[in-house]
Amino acid sequence: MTRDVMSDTELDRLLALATVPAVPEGAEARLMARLARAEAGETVVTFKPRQRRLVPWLSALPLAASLACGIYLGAAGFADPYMTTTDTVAAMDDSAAPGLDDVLAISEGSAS
Amino acid sequence: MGIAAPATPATAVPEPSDAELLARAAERDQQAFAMLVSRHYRVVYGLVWRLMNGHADAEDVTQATFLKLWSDPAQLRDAGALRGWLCRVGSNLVTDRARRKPMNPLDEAAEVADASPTAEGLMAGAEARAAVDRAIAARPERQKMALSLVHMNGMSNIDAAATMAVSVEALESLLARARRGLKEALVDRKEELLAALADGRE
Repeated sequence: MTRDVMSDTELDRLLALATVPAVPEGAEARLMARLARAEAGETVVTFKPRQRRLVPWLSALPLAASLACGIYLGAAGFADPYMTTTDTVAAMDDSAAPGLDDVLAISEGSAS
Repeated sequence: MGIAAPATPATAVPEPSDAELLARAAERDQQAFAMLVSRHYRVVYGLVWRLMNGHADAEDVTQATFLKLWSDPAQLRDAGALRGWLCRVGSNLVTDRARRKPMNPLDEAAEVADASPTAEGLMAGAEARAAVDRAIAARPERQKMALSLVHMNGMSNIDAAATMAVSVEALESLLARARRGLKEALVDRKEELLAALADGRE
């Protein structure tokens, strides 16, 4: 069986059928608008992110050490002798602080 | 004897050449660039559309091609080769995009691109057109580009070869292979397609 063939002329006639795309409406205007935006973008001053500096961390170091020292001295009681009581401020007496049991008694008026 | 009025020179201003417009565009003259765009947009868009098988991104790629030119118009040393340069950049952008994002087959694209009326007499013609488009889309990219430049954009073989940066012989070889492939793809429906073509002309 012989296969049908296609001549060059026939192919040219069919190629003439191929879609020739129409330029979308407003395409050139959109391009020029995009171009204008790109141009405008070039004149915008860009702010670079600040570089992290080491100095703030270094200055925070003695502060942190001082805080740690203070906590330690306070907890160890080294500062107690320097904390004097005055007449206007009562010395703290933790032993006299009422507990939860006392609250009920106070509310019932059996304790003052 | 009266004084003869001086003959008024022809007022038609010659169109500036691509070289002049490029030089002005290099000085950021958007109006000059707009003239270049209107002069070459259709050809570049047609090629990109063909290479992308009618994908909707064809406009975006065409715009990117022109923006590349706008970014540095001086990069083009021979203004006479502007159209070829644009086509080459456009085809490179299509290749880059295809690597990143595979395009839809033409079956879908043809429906998007074909806005023919659905009247009875045009149906067969539209179908024949879609068949030819599909056959072209199935060709390898280089063959498709050669077909598009020579057959759809009417470039000479010499110009098309320069655009594709190949010798004229290589271009002719690409065209011959493309045509052979198209014949093989379309021969089975030859009678039907030619009849549809004849119907469309009536």
